[in-house]
Amino acid sequence: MGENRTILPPRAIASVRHRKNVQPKADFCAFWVPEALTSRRGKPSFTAHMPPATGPRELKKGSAELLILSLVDDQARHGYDIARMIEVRSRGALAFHAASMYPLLYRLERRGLIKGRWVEKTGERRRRMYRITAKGREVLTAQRHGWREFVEAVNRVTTGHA
Amino acid sequence: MRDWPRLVRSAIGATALTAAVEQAVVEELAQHLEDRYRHLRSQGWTEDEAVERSLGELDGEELMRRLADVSGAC
Repeated sequence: MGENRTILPPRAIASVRHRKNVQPKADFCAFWVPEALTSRRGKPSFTAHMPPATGPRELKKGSAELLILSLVDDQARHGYDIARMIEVRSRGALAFHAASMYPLLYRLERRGLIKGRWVEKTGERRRRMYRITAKGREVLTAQRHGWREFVEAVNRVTTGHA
Repeated sequence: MRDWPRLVRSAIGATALTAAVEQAVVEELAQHLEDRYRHLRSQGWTEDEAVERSLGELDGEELMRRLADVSGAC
């Protein structure tokens, strides 16, 4: 998969893992699209049953948006806080690196789903804090619903329970 | 104290962003990497390891590719 890649030089990674016994963490952007979701022609094989975001690429993108919108729904957060919350709440299963996250934050802001503003505190560097907008909350509600339907559908298939 | 903005600029190289946007992006990324560095240090990583891993979050080429269609957003 094109985005399933490491961003440290291989030698550096091997060195760090050897010293710290660090297990490779799923790169978030590669995590959400199992090959099974893609037909041999590279198109979604069950589009009709997927959430509003249709194909695998859209599903992946929509999932990243869902995570970020969820985290800035209840309170304003800066980028690092968002990344840490994703890592902590997923118990380390998901990682969202800076090179992936900030462009997505800017894209969400440009679409009017979140609003960022610089906040200064005495004795600290200013930080850009992001908060969801009314339009973003509408999208979040729809994405949560779509994601729940998708998970429930997969569960019904994998467990055999209707 | 490490000059994180300079390290970020070095990592991303020349950009096609406007000066104002580039400044904002660099400042935000520098803050992120500094936070990451402090967290790693608090977890027992050595200074060199923490810097290496923090900078490892930045792939300048990938970042610029992703930023290309959102320039002007911040």
